[in-house]
Amino acid sequence: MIKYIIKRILEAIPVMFVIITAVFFMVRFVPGGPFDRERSASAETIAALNAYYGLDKPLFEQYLGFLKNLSRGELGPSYKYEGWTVNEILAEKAAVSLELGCAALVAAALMGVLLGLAAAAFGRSAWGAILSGLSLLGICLPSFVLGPLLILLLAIKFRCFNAVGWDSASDIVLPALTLALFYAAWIARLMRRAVSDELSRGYVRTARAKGLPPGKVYFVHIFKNAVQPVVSYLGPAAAGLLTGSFVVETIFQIPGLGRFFVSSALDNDYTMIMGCVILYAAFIIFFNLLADIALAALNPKVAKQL
Amino acid sequence: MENLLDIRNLKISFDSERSRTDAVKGISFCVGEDEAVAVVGESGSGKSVTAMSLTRLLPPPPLCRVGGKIIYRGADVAEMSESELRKIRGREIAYIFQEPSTSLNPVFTVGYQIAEAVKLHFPENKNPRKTVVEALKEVGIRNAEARYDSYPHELSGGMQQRVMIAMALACRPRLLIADEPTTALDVTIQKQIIELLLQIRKSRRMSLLLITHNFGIISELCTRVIVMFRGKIVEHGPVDEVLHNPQNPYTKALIACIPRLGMREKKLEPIDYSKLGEV
Ligand SMILES: Nc1ncnc2c1ncn2[C@@H]1O[C@H](COP(=O)(O)OP(=O)(O)OP(=O)(O)O)[C@@H](O)[C@H]1O
Ligand SMILES: [Mg+2]
Repeated sequence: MIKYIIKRILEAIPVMFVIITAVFFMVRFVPGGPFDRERSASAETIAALNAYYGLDKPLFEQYLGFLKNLSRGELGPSYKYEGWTVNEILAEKAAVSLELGCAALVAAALMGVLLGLAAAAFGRSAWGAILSGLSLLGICLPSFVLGPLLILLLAIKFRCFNAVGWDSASDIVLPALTLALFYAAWIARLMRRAVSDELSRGYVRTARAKGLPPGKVYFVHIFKNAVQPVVSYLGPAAAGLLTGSFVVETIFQIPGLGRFFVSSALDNDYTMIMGCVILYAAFIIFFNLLADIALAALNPKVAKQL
Repeated sequence: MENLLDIRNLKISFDSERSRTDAVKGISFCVGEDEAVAVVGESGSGKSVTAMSLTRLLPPPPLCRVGGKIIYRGADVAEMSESELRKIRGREIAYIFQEPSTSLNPVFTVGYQIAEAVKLHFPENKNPRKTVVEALKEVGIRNAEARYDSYPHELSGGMQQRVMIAMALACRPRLLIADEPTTALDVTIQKQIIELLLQIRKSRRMSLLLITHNFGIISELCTRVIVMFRGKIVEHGPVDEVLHNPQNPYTKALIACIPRLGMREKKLEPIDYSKLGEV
């Protein structure tokens, strides 16, 4: 197992290298530079700024310089937020996004699995149809509709939560729910499908034939098999939750990384873009690894291949 | 001698939106204490659904309707509550199925799966692991202590079927229902499993209901045979009598299908249903 984890981390290094290289050159080919938006700046000032940050050097030299800094763990100064290094900004903002993303992931997994189990248990009855309909709604409803709806209902009408902001502990609930709903709905459908596929398996008949009560058949025997597709999906879902938090962070005015990522791309804040991309890529690789390890823990056949 | 199991005019039908299948059309037979009965018939003749109906393992109505009476040790199975039934399933009437590879749960160790039955039916048992290891030894699994922690996919088909048999035997049932226990296995493994069943029949008091479509394997194991065809019993009697002097044309055709040594040059005839008429 430890050998496998080390192998996966080693495999991730060339992947990261390709991503870093590709993004580094791609953003440079986008027209414009980091200081174009400073309206007051004259051409001379911009040239001076470029010279100050080394942006006038040949591109390949800049690339090598970036790699050299990166190898020491330094991402360089932000061009947009004067006086801040990218490291400092990431350290402050990524924690918020990570917290939000993880809360949403846990919420999505719990809600999805429970709803999927319930939907499968109700089968084709009216309740089953209602749950299916709800999960379809969850998939279709975009977060910029759902977020304001939740604010309207739970913050303004019932006053359970603050409408926006990131101050008290309960402020995480509404944005996490908004972010989680799509994934919860998707997981519920995955789970429902998996459970109804498993119901007709021979081992279910064996479990019933030896006298196990339905709860044990369902929550022990079927569950451990049916939850596997959900676990494999959690890796990509985590990626989606982390990188997709931009809209939700904007609606709820959360000082997270999502907004910085998008604005850094608009501002051509090269170092900031690189920082965000590297961090997101690392998160995605990490969560996929985590999902694979969890899957191996559930399925001995998968574990054997590790 | 009172019968362990008494089946009277059993009828089983499946309903779907469009069609209705009468899988079993009124059959009656019984299984005595310590008796081994074979049920023989071709695919689709209703053998498995009959076996499943005995502990109400079939889907609930309206999907599936069961008529007639199933009397187990004087009690009507249809009138038992679910919790009463669960005390019979596995504990009194145990099953082994055709496909050992799909009958075991792939994500639990075989030991866990057997111990589950032991713990369920003998909660007072202080050392279920020991009981399980003994059961594994009894069915001829070498290195039983280590095999306890194996997953099903680490075992061969024959070993998996032995595990299924161990699971059935671990709770010392009065009746073992073996639904085509050898069909999915190689010929040599088939013989080993039959021998194992024989040996178990000798060593403990337990009735056996052996379901098969192969006349060849029943004469060693069973004393009585029931021949089913399209949901009905067409012949019923002691194995020797039926084998040597079959009355029904379908039984004759089935017996003609048994490959025997020295018969190799004669080609096996497929059953010609048009000659059989309505049975
Ligand atoms: N769950 C079900 N729903 C609908 N029809 C069913 C169901 N189970 C069995 N049947 C039908 O009942 C009939 C008898 O099936 P059964 O499985 O008892 O046959 P069998 O004698 O065991 O055959 P085999 O040798 O193939 O195992 C078949 O026609 C089958 O289509
Ligand atoms: Mg069958």
